Amino acid sequence: MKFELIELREDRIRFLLSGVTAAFANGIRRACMSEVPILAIDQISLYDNTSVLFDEQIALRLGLVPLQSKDLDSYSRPEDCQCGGEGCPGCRVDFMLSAEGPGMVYSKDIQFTDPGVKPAFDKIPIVILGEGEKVVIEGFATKRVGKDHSKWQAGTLCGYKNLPKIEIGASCDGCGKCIEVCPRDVLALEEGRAKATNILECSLCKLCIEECEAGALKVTPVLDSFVISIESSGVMPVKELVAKAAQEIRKRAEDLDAKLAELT
Amino acid sequence: MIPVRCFSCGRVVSHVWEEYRERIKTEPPGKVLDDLGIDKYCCRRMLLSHVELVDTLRRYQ
Ligand code: SF4
Ligand code: SF4
Ligand SMILES: [Zn+2]
Ligand SMILES: [Zn+2]
Repeated sequence: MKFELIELREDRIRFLLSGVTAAFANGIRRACMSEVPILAIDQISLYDNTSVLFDEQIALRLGLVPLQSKDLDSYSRPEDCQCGGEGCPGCRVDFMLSAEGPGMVYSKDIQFTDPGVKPAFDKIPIVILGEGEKVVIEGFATKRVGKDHSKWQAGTLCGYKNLPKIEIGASCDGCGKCIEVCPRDVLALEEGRAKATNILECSLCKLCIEECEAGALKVTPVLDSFVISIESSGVMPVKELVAKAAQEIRKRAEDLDAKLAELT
Repeated sequence: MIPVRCFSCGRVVSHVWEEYRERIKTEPPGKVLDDLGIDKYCCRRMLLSHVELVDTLRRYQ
C-alpha cells in the first residue's frame, strides 16, 4: 500500500492510495462518514418559544450545529456507558440556550456545561427573534456515530475515484480537439501532440475519446489506485478524522480476529 | 431562516449567510461565494436560492 498526499487543508484532504482494493478504499470512505463518533445535540426541552419557528424546526437546527470537543475521548457512547444508557455526565453534555428579542440567536449563544465543548462555527443563525419574543431551551448532546443520524456524521462529503491513466498513441496528429472538449482541462498540446498534464482532475468521462478521429487516445482507470477526498464537517481537523476512521477499521478487524480465534 | 447545512453534502453553509447577504448588495454573488469558500455547486445554490421569509411571517404571529 502506498500513500501520497495531494492536498491538505483544515477541513479537506485529498490523497492517492495505491495497491489496495476498491473495498478497502470504500471502507475508509464509509468509516469517515459513519463510524467516527462525535458529539451532537440529541434532545432538547423547550420551556418557552414565542419565535416564528416551530419547536421542531429549532430542534433540527440545533442538532445540525457541529460541536467541537477538546477531550472527545472522555465521553463514551450511551450504550457503552457505565450508566447503561440512562444518561450521566460520562455520556452527556448539558446545555442552556435562552435569549430574548429583538435579535439573532447564534450558535455561539449555546452554553455548554463542559467548557471544552463548543460549536465549530460561532455564527450559525439558530432563530431570529422579534420584539418581545423569546426562547428558553435546555437539553443535552450525546456522542454517537453517523450511522445513527446524519447530525453525528464527522465527514460530510467523502468520495473516491480510480486514478485515471491516459495513453496517447503515435497516431496523434495534434489536432487539439480532445483539449477543446475536455471539461476539466486535463490535456494540453505539447510539441505538436496531446499530453495529459493534469491527470488527477480527469473524471474518466471519455469525451476526449469520442472526439479523437485518429483513435489515438486511451483512457482507463487504474484498478488498484484511488484518489480519495474527505471533507470534515468542522468537528475536528480532517487529518484527525481520517486517522480515527482508520483506527475504527482496525478495531473492527481485531474484534473479528478475536471472534474467529474463539471458533477455531 | 437559512438551512444550517447544505441539503446535499452536509457542509455547514449558514455561518456565512449574513456576510453573504450584506456583500451581494454591492458585489456579484458568484465572487462573494468564491471568497467565502463555498465552492461546491450544491452548497452555492443553498445561499443563491434562499429567500428569507421570517420577517414576512412575523406579521401573522
Ligand atoms: S476522460 Fe474526460 S476528463 Fe478525462 S481527459 Fe478525457 S475528456 Fe478530459
Ligand atoms: S484529438 Fe486525438 S489526434 Fe487530436 S490532439 Fe487529441 S489525441 Fe491527438
Ligand atoms: Zn452515561
Ligand atoms: Zn453542498
